[in-house]
Amino acid sequence: MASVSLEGVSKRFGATRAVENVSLTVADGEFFALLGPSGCGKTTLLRLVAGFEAPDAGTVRLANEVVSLSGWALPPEERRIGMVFQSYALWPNMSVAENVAFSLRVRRVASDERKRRVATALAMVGLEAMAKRRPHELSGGQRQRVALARCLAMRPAIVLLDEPLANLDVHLREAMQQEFARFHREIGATFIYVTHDQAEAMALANRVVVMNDGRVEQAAAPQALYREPATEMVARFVGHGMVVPVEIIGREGPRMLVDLWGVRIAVRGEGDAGECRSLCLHAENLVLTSQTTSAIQGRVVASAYQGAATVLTIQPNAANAPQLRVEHASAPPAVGASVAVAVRDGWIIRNTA
Amino acid sequence: MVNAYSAGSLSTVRKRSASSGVFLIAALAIYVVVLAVWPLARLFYEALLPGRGGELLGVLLAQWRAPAAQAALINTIEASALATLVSVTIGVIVAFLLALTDIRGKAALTFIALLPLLVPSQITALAWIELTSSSVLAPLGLAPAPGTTNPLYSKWGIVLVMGIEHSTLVFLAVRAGLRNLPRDLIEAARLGGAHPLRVARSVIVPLALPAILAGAALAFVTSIGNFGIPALLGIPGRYTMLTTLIYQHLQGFGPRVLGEVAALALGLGALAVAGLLLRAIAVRGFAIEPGSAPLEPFRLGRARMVVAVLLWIMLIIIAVMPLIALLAASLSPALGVPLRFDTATLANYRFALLEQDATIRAFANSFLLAFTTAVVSASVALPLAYLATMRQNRIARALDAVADAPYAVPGTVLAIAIILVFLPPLPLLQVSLYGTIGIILVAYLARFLALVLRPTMAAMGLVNKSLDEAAQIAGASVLMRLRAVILPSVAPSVVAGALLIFMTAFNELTVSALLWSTGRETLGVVVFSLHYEGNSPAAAAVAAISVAVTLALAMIATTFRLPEGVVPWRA
Repeated sequence: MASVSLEGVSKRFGATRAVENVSLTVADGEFFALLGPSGCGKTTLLRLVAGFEAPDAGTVRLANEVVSLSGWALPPEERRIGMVFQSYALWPNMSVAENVAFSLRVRRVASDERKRRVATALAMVGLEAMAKRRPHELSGGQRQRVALARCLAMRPAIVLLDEPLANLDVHLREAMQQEFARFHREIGATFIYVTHDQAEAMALANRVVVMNDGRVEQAAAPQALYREPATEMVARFVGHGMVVPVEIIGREGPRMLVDLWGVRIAVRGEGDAGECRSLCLHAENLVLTSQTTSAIQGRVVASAYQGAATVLTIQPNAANAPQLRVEHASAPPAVGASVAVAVRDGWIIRNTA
Repeated sequence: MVNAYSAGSLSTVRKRSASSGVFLIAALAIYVVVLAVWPLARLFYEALLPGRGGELLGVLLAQWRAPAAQAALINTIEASALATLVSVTIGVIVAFLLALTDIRGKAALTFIALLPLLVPSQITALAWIELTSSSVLAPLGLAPAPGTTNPLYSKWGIVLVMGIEHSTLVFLAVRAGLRNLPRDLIEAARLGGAHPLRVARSVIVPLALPAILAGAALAFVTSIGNFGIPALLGIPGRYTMLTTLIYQHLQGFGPRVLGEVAALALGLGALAVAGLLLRAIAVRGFAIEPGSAPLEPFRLGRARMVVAVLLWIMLIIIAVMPLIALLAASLSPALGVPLRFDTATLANYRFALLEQDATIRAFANSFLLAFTTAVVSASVALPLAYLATMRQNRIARALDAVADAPYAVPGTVLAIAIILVFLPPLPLLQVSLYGTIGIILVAYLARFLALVLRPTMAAMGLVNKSLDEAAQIAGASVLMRLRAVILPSVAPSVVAGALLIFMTAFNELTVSALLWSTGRETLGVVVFSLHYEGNSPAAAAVAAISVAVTLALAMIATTFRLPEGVVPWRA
């Protein structure tokens, strides 16, 4: 019913290419996250969906109807989209209840129906008691809830969320994340959630698209994004992946044998023997070992205690090798000690730069 | 090796730096108290004296019982209120179109909309007289019939010209209010389903209302204190306002009626204070969250061209046409002779610049006064703003607050206060400033300090305190730090403020009309008297020159890199 699809969408501002030939489909009812570093074009993409910007090229469809073409956009007020802003965007001249009721009043919803829906929306976010307050009398978390209630009251089929947690304290963020997940389950609308925080995106979304420099790097479920990154950028951006150069030796059962700094290791992925590719490693794939064969020799250069584990930074002895991060649970070796690192798992990146 | 930390040297250093700070604050305090606090306090005292029979508030009551005073009070409130309506109408329309839509040529339109701000009110009045007089409109067949009085010499003339002159104040206030509106608030309303006009009604207007009210209050207060327009239009039209009543009183009877005039001035001042209180309440408004990105302009679509043309026409009629009429009048050979290419003459400029002694003197006097006031005020504002913002000195903050008073009260009120204090011979010197150019200078120094103090305070607020502290740790004294660290970072704003003072003082009339004496004329006074002597072409020539000087200075100030709002006419 309310899928969102973009086809070859591009948008420039002067010389800057904010969004470059992006094609995406968000299924009806999906919780979809737009993830990327600041300036990657994710907010522009959201504004293209909302109708605040018209694309220079490409088509935007909402529920299979064309709403934007190159140079034309159906005005936002005719799209029936709900949005939660980073700044909350509560109108300071209206009370909490008036804020929530605004879109219903604009749409001429009858007075008693309107009151009922405002009360329901406020009850859903637990702010019935605050109906008569002004926005400036509320805390940050309460304002966020009002913004959400305002969005819910209009019963949108599509909800856009633009970094909604960026202005909140860390402990409030977790609580609000759970609220968002609950609302998504309860109202069944399509959610598009913009964030630069990969942990937030992975925790909430069914599917995440990673953007960089206005382009889509990869769109996939969180697990696939983490375990099978399509590009080096995704590997590094999601889950602090490390990227190292390998040469493919050949297939060994379900896995691939590769050569990393003269050490043979078995990893996941595809490739042809003799190819030079990039490998994505995560800290939990690496363990210290007493073996000397088939392990990477190096030296501990830093050690950071983090409670459950100590994160060791290891400089391999191989020439020009990037540093590796290893999570070590038992008593850590001293800084400067020589160690051997075994690789348990890794992923051969398809599009090696 | 000498130990720099020995107890003796440390305490000497501390003493020296403390005493230079104390000296600085004491000097600033004396300056501000003598110029700003004392005269206004004296005015209060004088106006509240008992009457001749010793009755309580006798002077005040006697003055305000007079029918002339009551009529002038009613006229002042009436004309100012009506003029404010005109100002709000023009200012709001222009501000909404320029701040919220994608109308073409915003920079040029903004400059034209703010032209009345750069033209002093007596010259605006003169320009409108020329525009509506027969010599300019005759070729168009629009002139009033010969022999009839110009319709501008009336209440409605004052309302129209004053309304236009002060529309810039409303425009600036509303534009600033609209600029602070976060884009998110408008976008949230549109996603809620509201069309642009509904967004304007439900969100933009309610949020801009405090700014509109504040602008209206400011326009009202400025109208109450205006002298140039009621002097040129109201005196011949027999429509007396408080400023012109006080002027005529003092002109007619001289300093011996000072006490009575002070009572009238106190009433005028009270009216202004009431307006300013209204403004202070209005600006409180709603707490708007410091926002997201700036507003996206609304698209006018097909109406874009039509709206732009209509706005151009309106602004040209109210801001440009009068100045063209003024220029035409200055080139015409004599009153009433139609201006054509073959009759145009520079004789009026020759007369004003080379032949008439009073005018030549006035140029020199006004230049000297404006220049001295600008330089002295800037030199006072720099340390005062530094102590008030960077050092959070309580005395400096108090001085900063009271320094606004002489600019906030009508010029007429300040001039009376200055006469009260500086008419008697100065202590020790045994000479009176009255009748010298000195009294005008004192009044200007009092009145215009705020004009450079505001931008300097604003710029100082943006300077990182650690710059000053780093220089202090490096061992620099207060004066050294002001010169080497603070001045370089706030210089553009200080200079812009000084230019603003120069432009305002160079054309000043309200204060100097009450303080001038023969040989000590200012340009404003000369324009005024030439017009009254019936030599309108010469008055127009002098006015045209001073407008040209002001515009040139405005252009110069525009090129500085300044914090927003320091030079208001910049888009």
